[in-house]
Amino acid sequence: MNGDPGSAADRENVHRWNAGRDSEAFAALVRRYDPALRRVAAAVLGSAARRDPGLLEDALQEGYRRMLDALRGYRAESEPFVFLAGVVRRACLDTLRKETRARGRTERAAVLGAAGGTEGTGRDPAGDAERAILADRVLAALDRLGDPDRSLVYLRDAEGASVAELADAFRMPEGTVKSRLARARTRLRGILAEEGVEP
Amino acid sequence: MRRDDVRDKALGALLRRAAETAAEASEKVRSGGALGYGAAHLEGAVASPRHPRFSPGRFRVRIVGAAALAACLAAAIVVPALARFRADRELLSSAAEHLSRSLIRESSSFLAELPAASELEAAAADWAGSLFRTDIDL
Repeated sequence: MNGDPGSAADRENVHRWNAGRDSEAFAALVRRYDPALRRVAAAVLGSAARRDPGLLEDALQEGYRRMLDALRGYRAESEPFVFLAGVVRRACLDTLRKETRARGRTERAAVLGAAGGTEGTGRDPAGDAERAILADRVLAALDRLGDPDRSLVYLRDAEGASVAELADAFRMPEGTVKSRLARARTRLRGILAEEGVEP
Repeated sequence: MRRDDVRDKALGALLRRAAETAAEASEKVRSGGALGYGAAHLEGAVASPRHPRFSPGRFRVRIVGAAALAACLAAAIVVPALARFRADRELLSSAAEHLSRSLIRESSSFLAELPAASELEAAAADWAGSLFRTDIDL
């Protein structure tokens, strides 16, 4: 999302929302970032998102709800995506905590997870099943990293967030972000190798 | 490009594909099986969150529920307590009536056994005489 020509328009939308609660501006932000934020939620929730795809929807919904007020804290010099991803990440972590407490959802999770994992998109059932299995392994490996390392690695390597943006969003020095990233990547590669997954 | 950068990019691509797969599955569940649920629906959902922290409608329902619960509790606790109180009062009232009747009866028999007034006066004079003796020379 770095250097994206849409960023100026996004900043303007954030400003319009903060100035007059312009719902059109908020909807434009949601439309633009929903696919990327959905991926961020999937990465943060990890294998819980695979077990229960409804959980991801709940977390994302909570993230959007929090965003309504959280946008007031947005500083125009940073990239809107990284800021929004931070809000969604926190919502996901809270949702995960609640989910862990409410283990009564396990049965629903198993049912939904099975549906999500085997049915696929319907275009190529065999390929979809393969992708689903791979996704399970990769997300389980991400789980084992713990937070904030998994969020840092995902946002940096998969979504292209800069180290400076991550340092700002995670409130840590750039040097710490870099060292955490290096350690997390090494560990993730090790876990993936154990699982037989080669990037 | 450095070798490490290439490896990081490959790792990033793998993570992104996994996240996309999970995101697609969740979107499919939400849209009831059809992909392409889209942001239009989401926009509506964001405009009116599914799980608002405060909703006037839900608040009203809770108030009505609390009132109904209070009424049920009143019926279950207060009414039997009132009934018990009333029964106790009747019992006490009848006991008091019985007691007063007995007292009156006893009082009547006591009065009937009392000696006549003249006998009382004579007894009193005797008693006073025993206190103030007249046969002593001062």
